Amino acid sequence: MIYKSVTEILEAIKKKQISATEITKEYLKRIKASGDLNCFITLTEDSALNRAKEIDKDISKNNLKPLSGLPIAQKDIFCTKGIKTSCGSKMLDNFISPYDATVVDKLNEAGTIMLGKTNMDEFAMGSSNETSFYGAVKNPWDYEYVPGGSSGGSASAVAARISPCSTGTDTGGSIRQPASLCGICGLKPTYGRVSRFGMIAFASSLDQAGLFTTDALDAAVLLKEISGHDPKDSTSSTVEVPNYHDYCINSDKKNFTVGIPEEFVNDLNDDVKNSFYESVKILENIGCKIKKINLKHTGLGVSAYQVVAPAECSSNLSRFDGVRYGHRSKKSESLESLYRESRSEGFGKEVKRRILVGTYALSAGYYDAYYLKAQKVRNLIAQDFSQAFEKVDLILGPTTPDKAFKIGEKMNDPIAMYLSDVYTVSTNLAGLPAMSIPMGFKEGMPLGLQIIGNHFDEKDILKLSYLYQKETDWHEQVPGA
Amino acid sequence: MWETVIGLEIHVQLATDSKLFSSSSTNFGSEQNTQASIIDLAMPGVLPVLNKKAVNMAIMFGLAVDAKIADKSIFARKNYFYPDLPKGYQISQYELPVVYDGELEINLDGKSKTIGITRAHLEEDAGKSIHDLFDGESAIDLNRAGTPLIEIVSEPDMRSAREAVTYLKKIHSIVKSLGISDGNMEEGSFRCDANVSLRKPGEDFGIRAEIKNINSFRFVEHAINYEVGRQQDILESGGAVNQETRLYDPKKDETRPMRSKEEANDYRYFPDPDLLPVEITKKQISEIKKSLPELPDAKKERFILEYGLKNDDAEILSSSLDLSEYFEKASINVSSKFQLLANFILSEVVGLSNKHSLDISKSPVTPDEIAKLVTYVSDEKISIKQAKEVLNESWQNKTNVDKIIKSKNIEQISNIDLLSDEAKKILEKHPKEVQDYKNGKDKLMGFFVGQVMKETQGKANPKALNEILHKLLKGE
Amino acid sequence: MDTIDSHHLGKIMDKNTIKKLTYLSKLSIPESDIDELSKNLDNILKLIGEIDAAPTDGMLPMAHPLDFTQPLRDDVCRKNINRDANQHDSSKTKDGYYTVPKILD
Repeated sequence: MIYKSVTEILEAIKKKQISATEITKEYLKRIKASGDLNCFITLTEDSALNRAKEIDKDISKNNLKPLSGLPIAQKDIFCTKGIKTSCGSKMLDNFISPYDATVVDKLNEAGTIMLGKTNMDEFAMGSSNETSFYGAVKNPWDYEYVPGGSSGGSASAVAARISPCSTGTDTGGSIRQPASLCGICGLKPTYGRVSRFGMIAFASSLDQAGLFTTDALDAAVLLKEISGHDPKDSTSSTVEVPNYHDYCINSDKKNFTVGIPEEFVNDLNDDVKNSFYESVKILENIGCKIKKINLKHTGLGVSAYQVVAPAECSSNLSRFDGVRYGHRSKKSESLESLYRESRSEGFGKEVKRRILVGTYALSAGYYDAYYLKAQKVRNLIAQDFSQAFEKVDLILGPTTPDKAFKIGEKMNDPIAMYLSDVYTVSTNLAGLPAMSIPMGFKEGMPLGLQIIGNHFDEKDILKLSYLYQKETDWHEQVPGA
Repeated sequence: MWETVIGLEIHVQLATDSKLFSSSSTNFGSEQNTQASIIDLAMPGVLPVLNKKAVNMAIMFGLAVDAKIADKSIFARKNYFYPDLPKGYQISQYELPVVYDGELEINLDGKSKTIGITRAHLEEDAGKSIHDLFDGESAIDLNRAGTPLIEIVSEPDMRSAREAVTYLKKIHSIVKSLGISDGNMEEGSFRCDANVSLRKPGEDFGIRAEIKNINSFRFVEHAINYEVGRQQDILESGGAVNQETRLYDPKKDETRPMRSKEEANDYRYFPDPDLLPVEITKKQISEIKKSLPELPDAKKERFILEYGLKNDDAEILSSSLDLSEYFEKASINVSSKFQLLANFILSEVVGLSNKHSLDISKSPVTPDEIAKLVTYVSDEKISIKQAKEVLNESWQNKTNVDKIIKSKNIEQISNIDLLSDEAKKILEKHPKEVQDYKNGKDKLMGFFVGQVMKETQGKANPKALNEILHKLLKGE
Repeated sequence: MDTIDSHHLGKIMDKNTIKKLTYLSKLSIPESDIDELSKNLDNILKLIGEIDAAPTDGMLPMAHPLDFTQPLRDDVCRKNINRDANQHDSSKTKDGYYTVPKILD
């Protein structure tokens, strides 16, 4: 019984062809058989089975919710009440959250069953999942390769079909880049579309929760359930949440004007370029109009991002001081040593680097030159996009400059690691929604196509992805099959 | 030859039910950490949501000191580590505070002076560290963490400790009159830091020391005076004042440098990305303006016009909400002798409340009772001296005024016939003294009064008695 | 102060700068890691220094990706605090207080 997609699972449960308990057991079995991938930090087997039982009871009473019985994996950045929430860090290795994140709340409310908490780069800082305290996650297409990051565990799990879907977070590409490297769909919604409450903050003005699925329709179904204003998150939007799934299926829109920024395609290697332009051809055949555009300042995206994100992170991570929760060093004879030793033992190298860079960028004498300047560059980049969206409906490019790299390859070269986000960071700076969908392979490793939409236009991103996936079968390729 | 320059930073806890960014209670004195929610504790993943009432209260204050109200206001993070600061940053305001460019007129020794108010911004309070509870450890209670404050920053416009205290008291009475704070200094609802420096008149400002957390009006005056003396000694011996933070120790009546607080900190302020710009509309401001209660200055004018009080008395009564409320409650039952009422309250009731360190609002003698006493005095039923005695007893035993007067039988004899009879009797008894008086020995009037008082156990109305004796002695 | 050109010339993240930053951020870096760290940080500064040349005259800094204003919460008090759950890590508390090594004022 290989259920390929979320929509198929929901349909089967609805028709009582399978019970929530059966499907949950099936995925738990698959997870256990794939331990080498290292996708999960915590497996919540008992609570998943208990919950499946309850849901089966509900279903027998015809009390069906939109996602009743759907197993899901949660990135370990989302707080889950009574369950360890580590954020991939030694700092929170012993942290049991006293509350549920809004995303977790909403998914529970919709009837999903949490299989466990997925591995990730420490505090979501990384593009390879190698900075996790719990070890690197492997790419199911080839265990020698990284799955991308920071949401590597969530991406790898869906790619390996050991979870039908999962949550992720995207601050500079942390959903789209691993989706691309693992050959699945990864959707980062508009900033403010999904509540950040209970999602451990990395860079508050860039972080956004999103999803991994195998196809666009699945993402559409899930997005509706996690979106909407949350009174607990001042930055969450009150813009109405449409029925993305019905829009994908029913709207007859197909002649999108799609912009291709020169800046995203000029430096591509031949394999990525070929895959990309084949995809463009498919879209033209569907009826899309292709337009060359420019996003002049996106070249500065990584630089601006590497100021803004560390600056915010340096402040956001100050709460991890060993006083109220989290790692407390045994070498705490004074308050100063409690702070310094706890934080130095609890944080890994990359996290410390970013805290130091962020502290520098905010410190007296450098604030204007770094932080303020970066926020101005951010505005330039946002303006590029808003001007582009006056001419086009959607923007298209590759998600990453290349296929996945090998584990260990970029670990000692932070700059090379940062540059793997070159096509993804700008949309975070501008707060735009974007999705990566599979568009082919290079030497057996997947490549991703990035579709960027205007603010709150997730529905058209999903619609175009849906149309593309009707014409292609990249998203149906399964590793090891 | 030295001019003192003082600026004050006043922290006022706002009287909201819930905290600035969370919905936990702001009550004082609950069991440790039972009012610290996941947000106040800075659990991973939590976010702040701003309390509307706190913003409105800050606007109220701004309007009360003729300040500008920002149409767009921004919250910023002030980054530093301390165990009573769970997030490792305080959410405060840096650029674009809610209130800026205000001013306040103070009156001292019959002269008025305007003190500039640079800004008043919203921020969250920290928790409390308790150092004497456990051996070798400090205990942290985060119940107070997140309580809303406005920090009111003055211009360095004050030139003496007394000016500073006058300004501080006026701010205190404004925030209490507005109902935006309980102003309780003992519980820390109203705290003050003073920036003090000296300069030669006409020269640039000198280097200042900041004296932290002074928690009574009296201590503010003492702390500043001590600090002025200290700096003067340094400067006159050719030294230089350190720019530093100092603590006032009320027991020793001195300031001393804080030992460990942050070696050259850098707070790295930046706009809090979890909070968006706060928009304050003209409509919102005008609605708040309409609902503003009467402020001390307006009240003073009204007291002069409505009650005919002397300027100084109106000033003192209106400067404290408790005092003015006490006065106005009593005035309802006093037909016209408002100045007498004011005198009685300001000298006697305030005297007792100071002596017993009790807020006048908590006085055991109610305004109604005071009104009775003052009415009896003005009706010459009792003397002012008797009224004071009755007040004292009533304060101590919490018995009502009428009962005391009755039980002590101290009602004044003002009946003219009765007094005349007594006076005649005395004059008849002392013919020699009467003769001496008529021969010019005026002093003997005191003797006659004393004798009548003796006969009446002191209950004779002295004014009436005097008149009667004069008449009798002249007439005969 | 407004330009970061000069930073490209030499090593910025020297020992003293790192010392100051670790003081502010309450980290401690072992002596043996400082060289590698300082090299990496210098490279990062070079990368982010590229924004220096961006034509941002007249641009406002963008603190938020969306042009929203702050929603305000009514002043309503909710009593849903579970101190035991909040203090699940009992090694850090005593009698409901959090404890730290004695602080000297």
